[in-house]
Amino acid sequence: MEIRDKKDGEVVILEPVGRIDTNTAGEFEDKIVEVLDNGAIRFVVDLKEIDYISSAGLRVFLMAIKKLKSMGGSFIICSMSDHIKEVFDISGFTPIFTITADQASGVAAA
Amino acid sequence: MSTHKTVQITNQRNQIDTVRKLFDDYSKENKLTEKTSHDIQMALDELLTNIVSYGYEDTDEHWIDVHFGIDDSALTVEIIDDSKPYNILERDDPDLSLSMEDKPIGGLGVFLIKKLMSSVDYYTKEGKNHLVMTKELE
Repeated sequence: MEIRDKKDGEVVILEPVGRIDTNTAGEFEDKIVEVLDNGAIRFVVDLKEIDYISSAGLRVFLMAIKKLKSMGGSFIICSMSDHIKEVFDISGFTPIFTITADQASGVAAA
Repeated sequence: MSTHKTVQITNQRNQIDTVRKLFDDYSKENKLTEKTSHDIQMALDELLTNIVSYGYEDTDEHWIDVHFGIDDSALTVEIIDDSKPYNILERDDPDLSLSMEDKPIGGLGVFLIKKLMSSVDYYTKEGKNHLVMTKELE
C-alpha cells in the first residue's frame, strides 16, 4: 500500500492510501515500526484517503498507541470518515485515541 | 445492469481482492451509498479472510461462492463454502469495557459485522456453510 510520510517539526505525519485490511495491515505496521526505529515518538495518522479499516488494521492502531503511550509519545488520528468513526465507536477505540478533524489540529495535538 | 451477481473464487488470500473489485463495480452499478459499500467491503474482508486462513485443514483447492443481490430495499450477500463449520453467531462478543492494555482484538471483526449489518444468518446445508448478511438500503 502507499503510505506517504512527512515531518512537521518533531511530528511525523503518515498518510496511508486505500485500505488497511488483512493484506495491507502488515505494511502499515512495518511503516510505523520503521518510523519508531528512527527515533520519532509523535505521530499523526491522516485517514483522509482511507476507504476502510478492518480488524487487522485496528490491531495495528492498538499496538501503536500502546507502544507510544509507554514511551511518552503521542498517536493522533485525523480526517476520519464517518464510516471509520463508527467502526472505532463500535470497537470501543474512540476513547483511547485523540481524534482530530484535520491534519493541522492533529499536529497541534501531537 | 443486474441486481444479482455471483463470483466464485478459490481459497487463496489474493482471491479476496477479486471479490472486492467485483463488489466495487456492483456498488457503482447499483448506486449503493458510500456507507453501505464501506460496511460490506469490511465484512467481506473479515469473513473471507477467516475462511481462507482458518477454514481448511488440508492444502487442497476449495471453491467459495459469493452472491450479491438487491431485493426490495435490502442488499443481501451470501457466502457459501465447504470449510469446517463455524457459526460466527455463536461467538461471544468481546468485552469492550476493558482498558487499553487488556482490550481484545480477537473477535472484533465478527462483532463489527454483527453491528454493521441489518441481519446475519448462518446455516449448513449439504456439507456447506451458508453465511447470509443483509443490509437495509437507505
